[in-house]
Amino acid sequence: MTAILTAQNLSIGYRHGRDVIPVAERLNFELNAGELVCLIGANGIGKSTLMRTLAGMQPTLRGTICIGDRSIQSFSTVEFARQVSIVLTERLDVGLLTGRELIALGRHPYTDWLGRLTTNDHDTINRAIAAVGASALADRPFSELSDGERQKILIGRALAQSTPIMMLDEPTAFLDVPRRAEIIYMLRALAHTTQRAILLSTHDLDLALRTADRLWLFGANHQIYRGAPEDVVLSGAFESAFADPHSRFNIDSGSFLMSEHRCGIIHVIGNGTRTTWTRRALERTGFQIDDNALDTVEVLADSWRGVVSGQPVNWATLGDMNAWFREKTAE
Amino acid sequence: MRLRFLSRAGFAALIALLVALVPAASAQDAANLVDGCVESYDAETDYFPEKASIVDATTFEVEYFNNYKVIRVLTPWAGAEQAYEYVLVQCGTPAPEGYDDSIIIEVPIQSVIVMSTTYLPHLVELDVLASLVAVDEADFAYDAEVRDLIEAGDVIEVGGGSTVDVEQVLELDPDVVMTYGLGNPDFDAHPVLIEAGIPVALNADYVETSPLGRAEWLKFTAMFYNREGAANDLFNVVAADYEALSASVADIEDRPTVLVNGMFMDTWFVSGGGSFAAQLIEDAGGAYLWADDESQGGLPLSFEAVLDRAQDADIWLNANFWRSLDEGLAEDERYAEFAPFQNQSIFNNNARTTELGGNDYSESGVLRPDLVLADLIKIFHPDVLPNHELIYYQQLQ
Amino acid sequence: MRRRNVVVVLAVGLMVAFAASLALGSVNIPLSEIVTILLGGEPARESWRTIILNFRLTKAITAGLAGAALGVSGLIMQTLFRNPLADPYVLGISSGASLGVALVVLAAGSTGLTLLSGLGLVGDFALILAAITGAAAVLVIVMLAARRVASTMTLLILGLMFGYATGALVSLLIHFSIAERVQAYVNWTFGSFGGVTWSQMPFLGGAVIIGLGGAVLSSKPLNALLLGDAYARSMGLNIRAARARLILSAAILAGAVTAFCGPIGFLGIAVPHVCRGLLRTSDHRTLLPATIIFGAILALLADIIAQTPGTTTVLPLNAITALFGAPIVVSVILRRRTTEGTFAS
Repeated sequence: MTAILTAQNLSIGYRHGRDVIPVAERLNFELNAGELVCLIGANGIGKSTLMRTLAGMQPTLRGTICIGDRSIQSFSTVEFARQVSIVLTERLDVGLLTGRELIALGRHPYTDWLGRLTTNDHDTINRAIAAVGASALADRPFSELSDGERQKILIGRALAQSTPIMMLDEPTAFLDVPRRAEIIYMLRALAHTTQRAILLSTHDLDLALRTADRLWLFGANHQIYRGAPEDVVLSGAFESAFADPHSRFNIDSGSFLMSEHRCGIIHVIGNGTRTTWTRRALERTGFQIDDNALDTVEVLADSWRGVVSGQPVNWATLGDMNAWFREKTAE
Repeated sequence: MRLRFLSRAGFAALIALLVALVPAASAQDAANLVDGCVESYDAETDYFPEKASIVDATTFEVEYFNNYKVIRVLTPWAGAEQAYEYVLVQCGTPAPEGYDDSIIIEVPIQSVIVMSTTYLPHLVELDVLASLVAVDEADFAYDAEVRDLIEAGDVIEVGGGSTVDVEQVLELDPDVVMTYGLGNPDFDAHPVLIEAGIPVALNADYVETSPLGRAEWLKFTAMFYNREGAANDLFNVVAADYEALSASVADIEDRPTVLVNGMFMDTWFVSGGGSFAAQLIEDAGGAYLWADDESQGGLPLSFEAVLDRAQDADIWLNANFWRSLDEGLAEDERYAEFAPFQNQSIFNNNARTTELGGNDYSESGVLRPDLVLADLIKIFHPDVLPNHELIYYQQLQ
Repeated sequence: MRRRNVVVVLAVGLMVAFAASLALGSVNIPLSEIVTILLGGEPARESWRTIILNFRLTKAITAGLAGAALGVSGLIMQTLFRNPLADPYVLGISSGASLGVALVVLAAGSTGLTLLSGLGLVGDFALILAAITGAAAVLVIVMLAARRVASTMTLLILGLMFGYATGALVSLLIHFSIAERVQAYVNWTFGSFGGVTWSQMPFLGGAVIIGLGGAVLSSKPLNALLLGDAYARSMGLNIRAARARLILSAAILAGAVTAFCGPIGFLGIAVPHVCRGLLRTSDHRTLLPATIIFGAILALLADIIAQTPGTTTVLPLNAITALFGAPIVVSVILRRRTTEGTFAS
């Protein structure tokens, strides 16, 4: 693992004249080549501040950020542009630029004063277009593309900038679910094949847990817990970072559950996919799954059989089962 | 009676007239009452033995009765649809019946406000300057006596046009406010004044198309003071002088070509062939380059068009307000393309001006078209008037 | 390929417009005579030589320079402000230049009916400097305001307000000045290409060439700025330097034209839009040259129409540019509405 970017004793935050408002202090971390890192955390915790500081868009309060062995302060604007490229969430109005022209802008740090593109530049652009799967989109006007297509073009532009580090601020924010997965998988593949260090912030916890090589969890204690997603979950840091009066992160299921357990405990008998979804249905109703419970639900091939307070009952669908329990609770 | 700038011929004629008039003036019943009112009214008496008859002016006429005179200003402005009627009643006599729509004023008046510099020479020549209480814009007055009065505070400024200070005018309570109208309520003073109940007399001298017609408005002013006698005398001198001068050049074949004015915004407003300026040029023995045109106003032309016709003109008159050829160059160096510029034969009518913007050409020059004509003849045909020195015009260096 | 065709057509159009500007006017001069004069020969009438060389030629060159300058100035502002309705007139930059001019002229105290009377060469230089300073000042103020104001419409309203404010200041100056200078100033506000003589041409030409040069050198930054400040900086653009260069170029262009021709509206807005429409691109490396040529053509056309060849009347130049420009502006506004509607956010 080669660390491309390192932060030491970093404090990030804002200055308003004399006032200094720190968002997080004494941070230490590194970005490695060939890794997809997902930055997650509750709203307003400081993810954007961190991204902006790392991307050089905001000054540090204290400490250093180094690329290689040089502090980012020592880079000129053009040198830094050859190290870090960004993708932001904001809506862009680029007039009549086509996808290809926009991606070509990524070559800005390498072209001459007129912005002329060499064969090498064209090659890089073409590779970027192929890498994000935008071949069909490249010659269409950017303004006519869908949100997902635009993200691809913008990622392509960052790729064309040929930087070892890429930072994306909520790249999946406006996308529908299939598109989100597509983008994040694409980014991971890029990280692995091009050996770039890719850092992205997201609210899509599920996708982050499933795809990230490393997770940076920005906790309520204003520290960043780093590690493989599963390590972070098993350490309990995930639970405490997203603790909330109304829901808890359940380690077993890897999802957030309502905190209310109005219905008590129940034991589920069965294996496989149907059993997994039966458990979810019961949790959704308000049960807590416990093998020691007296009440049971048995998962059969095409129906369900329950024993509740000693009484047997059958349901054809999980919906029927939920309705039955809701009526029973209402009594 | 005081007179200014007489030509020698006119002066001689004047002495003759004066001599003839003195015995006449001493007879009480052969002169109008210039002071005071009638003590005991007699319906049979003709209180106006000295009457004005209007010869050259076409925009006003007068009718005399025993104790009142009726003046009709026929076209107070171009395109006016109604005439204005003024009934001047001898002070001390009853006003006549049947003139309810007219403005009735007692004469001779004792105080006046004037809103154009062209009326100031009337007051000076008729010796009634003491009746002047206010003008519209004090800066534009040229006459030295008027300036003295202004400086002494005896004559004040009340503004002009639609923004005239009505309160000030009411305070001064003049017998008459003499002004002109343009027919545009946004710019005219008289609607505002009439509404305030102030007696207004509209003067239409600027509408006249002949130089003598304009000068004859002296008689209009005179009628308010019962001084028609003096006015007649002076006007006769002026008219005779003018006729004599224009006769002296009428037969000259070799006439200099004449160009007038300069650029204003993107347009060169050249006087039309039927205009006042054109007639003066014609009468002075000049060949106006746009004499073929018939309009009475100005022709809007481009610099190109003017250059095309007038590049080789002999004389150039009234080139904007330059005082020197350098000013012309500074305005636009392409004026130098004109022959009169290169030959230094540009004459502007700003020889008699004050720093504040007063120009005697628009003051006494209106009353003395004979002097203006003399200037022009001197410019066009110097040998016809070898001893005349330019009065209103100056040659630009 | 298609783009190259358009540029060729534009270049030919420029030559035709230039020739027409020389050939048409209130005085009828045959084409053969014009050619003779241009080649240095003897024309049938001397006055024709003066007219062609000292009037029509200077007017045509002025119109070409002014059209190019205003078009490019508008293009720069539209990109700088990310606003398709920006132009020197709308954002009050022309008004700033007017104020500069008014201060020099009304305070100079010399007499005369035209603006530059009595100022001479030093005066010309002072005038152009004052106009550029005024233009730059307003431009900087508007840019500072743009940082605080998110909505582009608000920015336009701010620009209009600056225009009114400077207009009010000028009215006050007028109120306290003498009549002739005021008349000269009022004349100037009507806008005209015909007032520039050969001795003034070096100032106008020099300033326009400097401004256009600055703009062309900034084609790459302008393209980067299409993505906004954040992206542009991340791509290595020195935002402050680029913005300063762009502001200076736009101010020089707008200021110089305003100083010598008076405030001329709508060319700055309309020309970039028509070029974008014709060339279907937002790439400034193509747009800049196209704007220069098309701006010159449009200005020449407007001037020819204003001269109403064959008659002696001269229409106000700003009325003609408005007749061209207003429909274009309206169509831009309407089109923006519909595209904004499709943004699902």
